[in-house]
Amino acid sequence: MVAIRTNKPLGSVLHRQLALLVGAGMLFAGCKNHRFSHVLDESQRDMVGSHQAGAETFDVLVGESVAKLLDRQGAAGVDPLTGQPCQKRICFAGIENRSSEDIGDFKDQLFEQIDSAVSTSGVFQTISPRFVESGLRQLRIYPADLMVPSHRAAFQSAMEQQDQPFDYLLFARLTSGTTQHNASYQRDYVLTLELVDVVNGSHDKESAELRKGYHKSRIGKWTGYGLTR
Amino acid sequence: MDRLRADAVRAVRGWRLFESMRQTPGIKGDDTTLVSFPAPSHAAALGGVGRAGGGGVRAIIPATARWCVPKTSRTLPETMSGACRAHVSFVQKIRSPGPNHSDSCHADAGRLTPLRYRRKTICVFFFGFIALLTGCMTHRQQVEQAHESFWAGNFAAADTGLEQASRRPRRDLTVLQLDRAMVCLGQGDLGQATLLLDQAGEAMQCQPAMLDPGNVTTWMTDDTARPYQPEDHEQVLAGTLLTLLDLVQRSGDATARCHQLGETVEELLAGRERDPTDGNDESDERKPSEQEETVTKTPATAGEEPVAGSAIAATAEPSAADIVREELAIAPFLRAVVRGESPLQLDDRQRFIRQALEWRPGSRLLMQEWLAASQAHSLAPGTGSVYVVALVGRGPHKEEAVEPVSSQALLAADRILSAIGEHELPPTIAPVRIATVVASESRIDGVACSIKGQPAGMSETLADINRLAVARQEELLPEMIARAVVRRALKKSVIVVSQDEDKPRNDPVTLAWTAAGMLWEATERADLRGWSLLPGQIQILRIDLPAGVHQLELSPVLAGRLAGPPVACAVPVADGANAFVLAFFPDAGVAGQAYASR
Repeated sequence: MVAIRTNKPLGSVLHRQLALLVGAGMLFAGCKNHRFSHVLDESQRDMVGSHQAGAETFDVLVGESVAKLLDRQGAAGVDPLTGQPCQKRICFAGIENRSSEDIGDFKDQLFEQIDSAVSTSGVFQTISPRFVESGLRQLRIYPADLMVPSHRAAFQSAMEQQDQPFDYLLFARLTSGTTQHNASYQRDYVLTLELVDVVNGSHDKESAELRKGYHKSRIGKWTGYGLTR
Repeated sequence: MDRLRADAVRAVRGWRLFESMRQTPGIKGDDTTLVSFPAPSHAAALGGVGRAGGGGVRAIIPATARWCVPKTSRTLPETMSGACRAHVSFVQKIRSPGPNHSDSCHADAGRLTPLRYRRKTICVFFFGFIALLTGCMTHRQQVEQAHESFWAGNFAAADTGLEQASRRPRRDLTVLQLDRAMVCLGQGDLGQATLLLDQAGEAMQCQPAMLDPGNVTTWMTDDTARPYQPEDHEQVLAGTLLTLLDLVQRSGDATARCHQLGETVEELLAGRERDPTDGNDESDERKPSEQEETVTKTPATAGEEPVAGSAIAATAEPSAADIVREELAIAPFLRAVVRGESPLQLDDRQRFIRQALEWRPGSRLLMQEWLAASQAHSLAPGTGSVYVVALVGRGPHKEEAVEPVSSQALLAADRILSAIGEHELPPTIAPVRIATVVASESRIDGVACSIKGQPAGMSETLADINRLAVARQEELLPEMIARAVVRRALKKSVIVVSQDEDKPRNDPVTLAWTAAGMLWEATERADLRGWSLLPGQIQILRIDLPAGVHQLELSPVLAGRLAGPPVACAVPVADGANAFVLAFFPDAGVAGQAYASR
């Protein structure tokens, strides 16, 4: 009764392998059910997402787009009653994900990052998103409806009732474009910030772009983009 | 070849021995007798001629030589002591054929008594093993009794039994936690149920290292030796229940739970599908979550396409992969409901509903959700939505089954063995014992909801856990069989390698070792650990109601008729917000009560 035919003498090979296997198992006995984590400091680079965008993409997009917008809108507003310079009151109407990726928990973080960056700039004074959300829910409207004059007027009225008047509406939109090349593909991410003046309807738009290449192996990167870092 | 050569040498030596015995005074060599031998070489050694069969060799040998056959009797006949001594000498010669060995051989000729001590040792091990098995049965019986108590509605007894079993878990703590969570749900302790599900979910996410002792020893024992490996349907259901419990309790973690559930489903789909960056198919290289984007739909037409898809699906038999995806639609649905509560997250709501509709085309509930998401003003001012979530029927359970070894499984097993070393797998087709998932029959079809005696609707299945589990089992069956085949091959090889090839087959030590090997293989058990107290289906009904408190009545329905007493539940509905009701109907009655969100 020989269960296994071997090309080598089975006894010596199997005994050795079993001994090695058991020995290694004993060595790694402490690995059971352990996960590891560590805290990153400022000097350490972000991890680069291998399948979709991550911190390495969104941090850049948010920083660049907000900086561009604030740079262009740097001039302080003027109080219509007193004529004194004042901060512009802005209502951030959310971020819309139109990219081909489910960005998961990043969406709320992007909202907070943009909201914080704008509110701490000294140029704008933002309205709490909780007021914005309750106003929209009260009127059963969505951010896109704010472009309709009647809805916008109703929303402005609702916000004023909550002592939260505003001069500008801010919309953010994340889009992506994908270029495929055999096993590799390149995806361009664009974050657009659109500022709409609710008084005269004029708008200003700024965007930031970041391109990422996705490859099956490092060779794919070299063939697509050359021997660069 | 070496073995054959050794047998031939033995035969020649045996014949010489026989000839010498014939010449021994007092032995007549003319008579013959029929004797059973374990191997042909033994018969040949004593000059016998016979045929194989019946677990050994039946051979006719000279009657004088029958005393050379090892007997169980420890008393050697004095009259035949010469022949017996010659036989023992022959055996000793084969074991260590040295030129100066004859004296010691003769000296050991009558010393067969050590067998008695070996038998004692074997007996001790045997009864010890039986005692161990008895202990396992007690644990299992305790757990099974707790399960029966749960199904009978005796939650206190079920909780006590499972809690006692959890004190001394046998690598099934996670399973016991999952079961206890359902018992807590029945008792109305939603906080404890969440805690237990959290603990179990954490354990399920932490897979042991490859060289974990449990994972290593599983190759030498059986799958019960390794740490608990959660089934896919268990992971998805745990995440779904955590989300639902959070929505009912309003703990504020629903968004995080949804993200975790989405990641679980993504990993499951990514694990069973091809690597997204695999270059073999250039047309489809993205993650499953992104693949929905390849089918670009406008919101206006998206509602029509799934209906067409469902018509095609009705004519063709859905594959296991289609079924798995279909039954996972609950995950994007919940994400859409949770995210869609905020008007700032309309895009997320639409995205996830569209994904759910693609995975489960033809669903009325999903179509209703899609219309609500695409028509911004569908919910009238002063109204809110109530989602009635009914956990219906009993979920799948595991049974031990003997499965034939398919060529696909043999190929997988051969690859595993080849990875270990340069071994080949014999083309054995002996069936192996594995744990199979068996769907439980549901005793109710769904749950009917009524408000103030007026029917408000019937729940619709959004996730069939039984169907999901069986479909996943179908996908994973070759891998499971391959594991069992490899384990069997390794066990056999260890038995063969550890035996002394020069020993005769009828040597007591060899026989005992072979018997131990058979026992080793026979005691292999399928891994039947699993979440036992889980529901069979998750059914959902959406009702839009004016703001205020409403009395809902939920009744189990079978074949269009009420199958059990209704359960009442007061639901507070807020303007423009979602409310949730959770109830578990394992049979015709509700387990505990129906719970409404605060």
